[in-house]
Amino acid sequence: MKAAGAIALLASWAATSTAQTTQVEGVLTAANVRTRGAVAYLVPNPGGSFAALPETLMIDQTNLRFMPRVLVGQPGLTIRFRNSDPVFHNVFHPAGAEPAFDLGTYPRGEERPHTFTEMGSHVILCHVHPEMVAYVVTVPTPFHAVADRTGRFVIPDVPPGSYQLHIWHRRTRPFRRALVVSPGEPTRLELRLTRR
Amino acid sequence: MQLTLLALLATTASTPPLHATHGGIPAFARKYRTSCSTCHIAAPKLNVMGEAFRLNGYRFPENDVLLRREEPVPLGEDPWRDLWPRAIWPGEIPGASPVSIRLQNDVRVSRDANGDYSYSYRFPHEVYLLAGGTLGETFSAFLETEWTRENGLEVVQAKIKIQNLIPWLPSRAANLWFGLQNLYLFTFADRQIDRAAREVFAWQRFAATDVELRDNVTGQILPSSNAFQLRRTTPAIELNGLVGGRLYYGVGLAQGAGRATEDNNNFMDFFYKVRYKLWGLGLDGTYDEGGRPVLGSGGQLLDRSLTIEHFGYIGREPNGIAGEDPHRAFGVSARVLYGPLDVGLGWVRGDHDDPWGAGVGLRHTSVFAKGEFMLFPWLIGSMKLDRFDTRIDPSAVGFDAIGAGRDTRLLPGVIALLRQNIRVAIEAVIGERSQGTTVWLRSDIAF
Repeated sequence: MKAAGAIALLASWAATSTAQTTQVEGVLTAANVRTRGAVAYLVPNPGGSFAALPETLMIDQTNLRFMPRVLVGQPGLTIRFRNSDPVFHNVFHPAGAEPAFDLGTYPRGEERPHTFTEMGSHVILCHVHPEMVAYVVTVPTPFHAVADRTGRFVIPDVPPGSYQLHIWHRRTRPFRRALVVSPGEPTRLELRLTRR
Repeated sequence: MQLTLLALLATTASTPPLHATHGGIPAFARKYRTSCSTCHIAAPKLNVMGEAFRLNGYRFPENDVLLRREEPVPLGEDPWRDLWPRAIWPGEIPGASPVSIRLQNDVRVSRDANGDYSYSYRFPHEVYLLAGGTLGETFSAFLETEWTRENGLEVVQAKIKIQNLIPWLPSRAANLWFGLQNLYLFTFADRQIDRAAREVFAWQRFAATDVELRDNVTGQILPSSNAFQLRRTTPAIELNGLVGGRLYYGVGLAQGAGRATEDNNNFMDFFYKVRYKLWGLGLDGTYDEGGRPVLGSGGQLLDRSLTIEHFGYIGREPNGIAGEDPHRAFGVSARVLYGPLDVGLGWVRGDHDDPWGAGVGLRHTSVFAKGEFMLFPWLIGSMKLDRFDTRIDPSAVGFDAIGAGRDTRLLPGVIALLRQNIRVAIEAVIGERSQGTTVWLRSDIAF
């Protein structure tokens, strides 16, 4: 019943999307926090969500970093964790929203997948290199974006309507506010986050 | 208002990297890609922001993360905190080299009481190796080594700062600094904090060893081995912090070893210091509601404020006659900053109960003043008045003190910045009694 409702909602939004879509863009700032890597996403009112579509993305381990550092998708998202470095890397997630997992330690050229089924933010670490970190954020909507190094984000192709705008960042408190997206001009925002 | 200050600093910090190597404390200049004048007036003298930076463990009071241009190297990323105690708490080290060098040369010309002149080129006279940096949000470290012609190579400071020691107290309310350190009992007239010219006041360098006791009956002359000086660095543990942004306190225990850095007795000296600042930039680096930065003609950060300080030091050192010399010193000062003008007046009194092991006490008192005026951002005029008086306990009959008495000195000076990190200074000491007249021409380069 829940799935049917979600599909109906998706169909409704798909119909709306034939109308004029727009983009929601914003700049995020916070005291003493660089807001790059913040995740912005729009959840339609009232409390709707979209059926998760199977999606597979890749996080590469290269130059002793996870690339990209922040990835966002819907539950059901599969990440292929690849090692492109000439050293062994490990991939693990300590317990959080998603049960803990450890993909093991593996050499260059190898990749191992994991599917994220739970909603929320998931920390990805490497046992071998504590300075490496990535975040996989699963959200209930396809309308999402990751802020760039200046704190700017752009969510494209947003159908007009009423939403809740959510912002997630590791070092700030969860942010949420109502947002009405009108057809035509992009919606531009300047948002101040509060340090956690 | 904090945003205004952030904008001011961000503007300075975003100057081209060309300026990065011109920093007065170059390790920090490199980290923030900013020039000396962000924190200094004729380095090493600090401006009000530099003092807030120092008190905050070498971090800008607000938005330090946003201002730095050299990202630190993480020793474990943030989420590892959540795994403690199963994993090591994450930290970081500076992304750029935290090491800096200062090189000081001087030419000294002296005229003694007989009218004879002496000249000396002291190239170099002092060489400093300085290192300072933050190790994450809590820890920071500072190292100062100094080579001088007189004393050779010395480790002057090697200290660790732990900021916000008690997390549930307000920010900066309780910090723990320990190591070999300058106690900065008086920031007033300290050459690394609020004085542009170099020469120190007499009370700062006075030690009981400067005065000998003569027994007029036996003719015996007794020296003291208590070489303690209030300005010297010493192994110490200090708890300090800010209350409300304008009241600063510090309290601690010190080895009080004087000129030597090794342990000299088992008695730990006790010291305290309080400072209150009215108006201007708070000691926490923020302005009160409605406050705003005072800028000089060249955009440099100035201030309009009154700062009152008080310190106390209670110690005990060996006197060399199988006994100990309990001693104590107290001081008060007031300093006014009004744009380019920096003036202040201080008073210090010190008492030694038994510096020679003869049961005869020694007292010193000092009244001292300074005035500095910034004619241009690169040119500062300085004048200091130093009146110092030492005398033995008047109830001690049959003794004379050799080297005691009253001494008044006038110390005029001019400091010019050829570059932000290159300065020259002419400074003179015109002495009433002991020193005749000495003039120095000094250069000071940091990179």
